[in-house]
Amino acid sequence: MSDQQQIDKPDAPHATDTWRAIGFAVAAAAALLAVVAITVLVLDRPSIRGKDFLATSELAQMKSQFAQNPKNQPLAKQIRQVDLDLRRQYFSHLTLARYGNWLLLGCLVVFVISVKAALALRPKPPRLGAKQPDFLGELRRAHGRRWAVTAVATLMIAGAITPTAIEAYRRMTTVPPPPPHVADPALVAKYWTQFRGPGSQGRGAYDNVPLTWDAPAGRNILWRSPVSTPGKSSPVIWGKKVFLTGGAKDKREVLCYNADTGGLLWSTPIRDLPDSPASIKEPYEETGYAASTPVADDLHVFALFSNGDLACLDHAGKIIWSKALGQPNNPYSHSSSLVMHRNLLIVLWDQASLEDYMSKIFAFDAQTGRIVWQQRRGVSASWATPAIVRIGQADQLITAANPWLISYDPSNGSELWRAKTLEGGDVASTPAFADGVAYSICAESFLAAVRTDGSGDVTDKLLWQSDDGLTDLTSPLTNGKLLWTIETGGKLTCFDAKTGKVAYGKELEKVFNASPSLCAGKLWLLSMKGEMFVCQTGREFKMLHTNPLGEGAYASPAFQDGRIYLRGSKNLFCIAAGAQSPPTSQPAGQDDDGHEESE
Amino acid sequence: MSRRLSAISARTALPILAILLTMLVVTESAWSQSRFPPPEFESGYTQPTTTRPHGRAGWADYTDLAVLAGALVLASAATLWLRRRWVIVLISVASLGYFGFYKQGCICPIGAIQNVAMAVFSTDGYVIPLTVAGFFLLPLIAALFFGRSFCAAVCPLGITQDLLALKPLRVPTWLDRALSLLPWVYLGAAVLFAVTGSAMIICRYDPFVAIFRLVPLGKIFEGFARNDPELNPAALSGRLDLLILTASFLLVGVFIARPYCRYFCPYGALLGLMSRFALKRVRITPTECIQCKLCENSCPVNAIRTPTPQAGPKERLAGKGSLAVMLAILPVLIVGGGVLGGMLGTTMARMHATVQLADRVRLENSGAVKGTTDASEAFRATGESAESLYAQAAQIESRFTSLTKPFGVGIGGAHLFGAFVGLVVGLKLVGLSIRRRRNDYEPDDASCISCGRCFATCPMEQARRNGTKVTLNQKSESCPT
Amino acid sequence: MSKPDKKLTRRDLLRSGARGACVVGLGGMIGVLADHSDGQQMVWQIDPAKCNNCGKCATNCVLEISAVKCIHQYAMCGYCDLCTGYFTAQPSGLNTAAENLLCPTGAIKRTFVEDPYYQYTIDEELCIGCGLCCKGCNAFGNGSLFLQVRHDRCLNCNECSIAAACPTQAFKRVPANKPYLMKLAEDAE
Repeated sequence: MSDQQQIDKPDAPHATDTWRAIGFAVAAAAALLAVVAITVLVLDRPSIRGKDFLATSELAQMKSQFAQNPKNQPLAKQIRQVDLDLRRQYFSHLTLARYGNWLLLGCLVVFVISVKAALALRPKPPRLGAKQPDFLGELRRAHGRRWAVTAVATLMIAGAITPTAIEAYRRMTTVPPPPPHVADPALVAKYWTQFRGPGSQGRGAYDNVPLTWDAPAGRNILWRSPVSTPGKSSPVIWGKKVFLTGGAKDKREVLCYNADTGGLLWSTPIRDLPDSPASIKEPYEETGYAASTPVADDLHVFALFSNGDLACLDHAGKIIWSKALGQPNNPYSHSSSLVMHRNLLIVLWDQASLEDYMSKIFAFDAQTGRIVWQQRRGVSASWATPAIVRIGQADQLITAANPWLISYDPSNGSELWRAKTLEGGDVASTPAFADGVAYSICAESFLAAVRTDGSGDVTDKLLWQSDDGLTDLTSPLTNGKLLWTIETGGKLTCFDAKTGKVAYGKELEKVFNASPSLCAGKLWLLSMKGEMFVCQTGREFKMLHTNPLGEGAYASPAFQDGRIYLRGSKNLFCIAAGAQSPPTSQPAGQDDDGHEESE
Repeated sequence: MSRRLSAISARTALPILAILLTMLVVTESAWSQSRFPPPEFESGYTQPTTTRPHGRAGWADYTDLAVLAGALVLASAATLWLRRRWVIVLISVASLGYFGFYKQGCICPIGAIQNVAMAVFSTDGYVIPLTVAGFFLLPLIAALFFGRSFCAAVCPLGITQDLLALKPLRVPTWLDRALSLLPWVYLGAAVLFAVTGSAMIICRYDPFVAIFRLVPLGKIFEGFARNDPELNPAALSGRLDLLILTASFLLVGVFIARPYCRYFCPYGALLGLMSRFALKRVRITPTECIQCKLCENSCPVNAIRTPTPQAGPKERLAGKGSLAVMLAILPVLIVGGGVLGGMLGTTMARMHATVQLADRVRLENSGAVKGTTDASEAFRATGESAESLYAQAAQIESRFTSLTKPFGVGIGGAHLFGAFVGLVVGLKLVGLSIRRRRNDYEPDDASCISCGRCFATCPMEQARRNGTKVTLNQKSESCPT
Repeated sequence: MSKPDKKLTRRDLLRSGARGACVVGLGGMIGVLADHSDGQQMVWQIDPAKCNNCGKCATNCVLEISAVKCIHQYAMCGYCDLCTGYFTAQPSGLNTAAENLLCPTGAIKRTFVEDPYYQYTIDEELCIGCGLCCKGCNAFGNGSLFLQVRHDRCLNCNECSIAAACPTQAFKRVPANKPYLMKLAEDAE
């Protein structure tokens, strides 16, 4: 500031008064202009910064309408006009911002200069200090200042502690969210809720199932219901409901039948999911649209189709949630079935080749469909279903694909162990499990017995491996002592489960698509023509009964209390001892296209 | 158009099929998928190269350092030897132009505290550029020898406030002393958050940098040098909360001089500390003080201390009593501060992005909150397990709550921060109990910012400027009393 | 009214001692910092492996037009007729109609090279760094379009506002003489 010259009387009119007035006026004008500039800049559509400016709901709606009828030219013109307007707006906003900022800065500078100039025109004299030195007063003031420091320090601490205190209080008083709904495990074991029953092992728990029937004659057939939409998925049961899925080019649906009467309770089509691909890709002919078996619990049934449509329905057929996972890149179309672990729906989503690294496994929350965990998998496309098995107090989710057999902790997706036993193969066989040992098999590698208590890569710690009886489609079956495999061409091989030694091999000269089952101490083999061969489970082969179905069969049977549910190519059968149904007129030995079977 | 549409080559059909794949439930970034192999051109087409424009040349940063050194030297000379306010103002306007508008206020020595803290304490291998270290050290060294000339004439934040201090009011001394705790707390918090990799809070809550970024002067000058001017201003409509902060500080700054410098600036706390031991102190009078009291109210930051009154033995004892009490409670405050700081450790850890993400993922997974955030969706897309995220967050939290465990009790960054604040409070209380005998009007070394407004009020200074020789015990024309 | 004391008082001695101690302290700090330094200025850059093209680069930069731009690594490009970074999903035609284009500012230009190849270039004056083209290119194409901080525009703030908001923490500090993280290693500096 300029050097002081004289002390002026403050109130006398001064030559510089007008200049001062001008100075302050200019300052006020500059300040006002600055405020206006700031307001305009701040209010000028801040939401159009960045990418958002084209994402208005109006334009999005028009674009989605256009996507549905792309030939609508007037709509296209409208879209272009709106788009152009939005872009113009954006660029004009940019120009406003550029020049507005310069203006703002200019106003600030003018304001400061004019005020300082105006103030300098009439410099104020220095104010004399009036304080008298006073020691006791000093002590008192020092005392007061110390308390002020203490007060500010306390305020700071209080301010800092408050959020923590509030958080602690909230945690003490909030009720924890209710645990997720989990179906009673006893009921899950009682009913047949997934592909090949509990743990995907194909083992039935009931001894009282009928051992013989004749479907064309109607003997021991409680009911037979036609299934309108075909599919290779197996029936699953909860309580008195039997669930099926079926799919064709124009329709995919979930069906529900009454377990006692066979009446169709409801059928719910699954279509028009948001994000579902616009046109459905035709699946591999042998697999079909509905190859994945659904899974049910006490409140829901979940279904998956070849185009990636995943749906959760309640037991009355209403869709609770659905997701379109997208068309998978799968050469033989997706066929892995769904499994559940407590409140999680596990979806194995293996695709493409190893290098593409596109395979994944998801765990969805059963109630909401939210992804709870997911893992990428370094495997190629696969067709086997995961097996969730209980080992001691813990559960393992065992998956098989080329080239790894991988076990996860189903609650969080963390990997437990893996073994490279499936290299080079198209893996469709679900791993078998008994007595802490998992068995993996594929036609291009070998049959391997893997201990489940390892961690990391356990490939060089296999219990045994064998090149006999390798299957490409069906899954192996074991009861802990013996292991059976049935090849598509009809060769049944029985191994000692502990050592891997072949107990016997028998050519059955039939074609098999369905995996073998164990129930009531018997071995059940279902041929593609629908004949169920009931054999003994010993170290020697002995066929006990042959039961005709009258139509082809690909799906696995479901064993319940005194009943067997079987899905043929055309009908759903319920088999119970002592029942009698009207005979069917269709001769045996024909598949659903009406062509003669050739072996 | 029809030619393009009808020629459905594999190159066209494949993408269409790929589009039918549609987005998966969660999107992911492909590193390099090579879905379509790079073509072999037959028409002699040469592929353009991707430009890679570099930023400022490396030597330009050393130029900044040189300018800083030069400005510090000039400012010190102006305050201590030349003693003219208009020279100081000139230097400060030039500094504002260079360090403020040209360099856009970054990197400044205040923010450099965080970088230095990261370099000294952090374990993740942060490499500090030499110029940043220089920016941190040079003003401190200057303060150690010449006082806080950085604050008056070099720091763009300080100069902005200085230019806007149009009607400075007097802050009551008790309030002034009490609020002077805040810069130290800010310093401790800034170091803690920087070292733990959580946030650079000094930069994030810088109230004045928005003004410097209003116009891209730096880029314009460099653009002209490269023939490519680009008028790309700061986004005023961006962070509304920061705009309000800037506006508040500007408004308050009109009536309370240098609010940020006095009550928030962490670097100011350090400079004040260095300045206490300065070799050449700022003096109001060029020769000796005649106790005329004319300078007493001329300091905008109330740094001028009056001569202390005489005290008898009884009063001196009372004063010493308070001092003894303050010294006694100092260790209590340090330990107490450490304990209280430790209680804040978990909350402070929430400043870190990974800890925030882990909290969010945990809430979403347990169903306590609906919907997802961009960060939680992006996390799920990576396929990493929630457990490993929680482990990472716990490890970061342990930097705050338990770095070491002496005697089984965890001591972490938060405890140290609390103990540091306790130390500062204790020392401030001790300082308020110490009586410093003064015979002259002189500025307090720590809080004087070397602005030179007091010089003109001193009659001895006026005499020096006029060339009038003054001998004491002799009335002269320039003495007003 | 007193002459300033010219003799060395105890206070002055203490001050000198403290000053000396501070000098030593600062000197020590210089040593530590020099140890932790390689003299290089550090600048911000996006790691393309982590970036998920969320679009925050366009909205969070302190500059009105973000310093982050989409760049095109031509060596990786497939030169497709139907570029998934240029056209929307399911375009009604391969033309420049507004309903078919992804880029909100028209920054990506398509020029015919030879049948059936097209060259795609980014006009940096128009690009706002929103990442819509990068998202499309990464999801269905070769991933030759990706976001990078452009250092002729970036102010190199000590704390990058975009870095603080990035959901995948893709921002990292890189030395100023190698400020770009390209996808193809052969193309790297």
